[in-house]
Amino acid sequence: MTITQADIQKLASLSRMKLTEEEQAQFAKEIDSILGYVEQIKEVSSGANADRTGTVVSHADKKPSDIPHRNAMREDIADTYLNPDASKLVEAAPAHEQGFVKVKKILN
Amino acid sequence: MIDLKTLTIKKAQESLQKGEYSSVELVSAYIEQIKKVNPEVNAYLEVYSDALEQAKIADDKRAKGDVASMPLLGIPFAIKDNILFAGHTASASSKILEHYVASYDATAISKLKEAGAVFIGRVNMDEFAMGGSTENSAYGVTKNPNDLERVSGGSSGGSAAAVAMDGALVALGSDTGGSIRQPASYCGAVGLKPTYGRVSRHGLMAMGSSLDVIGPITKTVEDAEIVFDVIACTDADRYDSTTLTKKEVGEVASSHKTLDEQSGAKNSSSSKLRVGIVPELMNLDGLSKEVRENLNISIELLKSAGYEIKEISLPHIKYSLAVYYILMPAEVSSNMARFDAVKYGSKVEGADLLQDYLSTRGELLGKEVRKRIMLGTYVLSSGYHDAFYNKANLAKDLITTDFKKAFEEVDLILTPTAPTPAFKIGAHTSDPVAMYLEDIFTVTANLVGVPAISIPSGFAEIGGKKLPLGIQFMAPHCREDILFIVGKKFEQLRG
Repeated sequence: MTITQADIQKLASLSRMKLTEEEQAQFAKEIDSILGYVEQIKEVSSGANADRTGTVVSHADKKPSDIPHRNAMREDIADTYLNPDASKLVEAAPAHEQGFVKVKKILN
Repeated sequence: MIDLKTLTIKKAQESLQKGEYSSVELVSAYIEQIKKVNPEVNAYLEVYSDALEQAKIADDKRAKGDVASMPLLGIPFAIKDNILFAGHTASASSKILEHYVASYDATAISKLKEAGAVFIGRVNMDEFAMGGSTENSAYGVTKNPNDLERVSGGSSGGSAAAVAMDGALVALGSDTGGSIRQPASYCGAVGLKPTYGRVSRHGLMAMGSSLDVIGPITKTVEDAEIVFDVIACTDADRYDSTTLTKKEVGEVASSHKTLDEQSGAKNSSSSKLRVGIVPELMNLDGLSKEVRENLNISIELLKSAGYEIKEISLPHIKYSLAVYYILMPAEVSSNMARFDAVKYGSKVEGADLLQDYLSTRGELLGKEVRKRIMLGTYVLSSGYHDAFYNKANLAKDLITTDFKKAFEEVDLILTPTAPTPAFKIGAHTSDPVAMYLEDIFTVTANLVGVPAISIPSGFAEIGGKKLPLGIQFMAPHCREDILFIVGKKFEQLRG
């Protein structure tokens, strides 16, 4: 595994974080060593369970005994649980005005 | 003078009920102790200004005689800084939430309030629960009360240290890969990680959502049980769809049977429990001599009490740590996206919206948090998704199957909680993998979702200091009851 400073720049940009040059070098070294460790995962084979690819799908019909790795679904219905607290949630935003969260404009 | 050292929930309840002291006096005694030792230990980030007011309300309730439904009336708690208590600061020990005030109560806090608990203050942790030593806190390391040159463990290091220094009777922590159990072990406390989905995550700041769970750090197993009984509940109809319903808990729990239950007995006696030990784990390179010896002594104690000790095989457990350090950062990278300088927290102003993001996240999130966000972004990115993320999920499935098979033969799995006693502050800061190896025994319970408890099991004498050691028991899903049975028995055996 070789993680370069350019890789780190790309990851930082994808995850919206500004890094200094020095941080980039340090992160490259540390992330490289962690990936070097976790790479052992590549030798895992599904063996007798060839149908299992690790993709998290088709768990919806698992039984309770398969818990915890089952999907928990519910209808997407707007409800009022948080309504009494809505103003408090808005007030927690760094910038807000008249009950709305305020952001900088994104289109020129 | 209240003897805080030997206090338990039951003893405190008896004294409060008899009127030997009030909750106000009890909370005052803890606040005095915090004033005395916290400047050195740094467990508490804040003692709430309304702590005594809460205690007064508890005393008034008791005076009215309304105590039956309140098993924790007047009992002082410390709260990990990532659990929301409405109207109080919750910073996750991060600069980005330095001034964040919780808008609502976590479900666990609501349940404790209903039971009458008093919250003294919030305690230190690794930033956003990412770390195993509290060295990643933006507010300084929490030192181990047993040896101030050493870490308290983490991420719930402030919780464990608060209990160990008699700064709280109970502390709430959260556990994603060992964050309750490992600090409890380092500090000489009991730490319970419940089954995934038994305690609501609503109001717990998310780290790895498929792994996170809230649990107590206490002095005794009985205290952990009392607190667990209060905070365990379903929240599936409202705030946390991953919590189990009462019916599901019953079904899951009854899918495992102890020998007593197989023969129709109503209760399981401690002596007939079967304890599995894992030879694959006993030969790890990083396992310290003291920990190995202590485990062997613990095994002998259990044998002498009639427990059946069985060697079991968990062929895929060697991948646990690698799986954890793929899945957890993957979830971290998406969970941390919410800290965008728009919704909450502090903000560093930039020229435009993008610069707001870049500067706020770059400057106000600590190094470990940013490292895990980037790791997660990497393992989820196209081209690496199959090789890392999917492979890790496959391995997690295989480990889960290993556990299922093992629990056909045994009721408990015993390991050390951590491979070493508490390490010196700064010892692992330049080597992330060495730091992560401290989680080797604890991460598996989170991956599989089973409950686990760390119990003090003795000391390692190093440099003239007595450093606490802990052993960990894991039980099948929803069988916390078995952990409590063996835990209480082990406390007696250990003396």
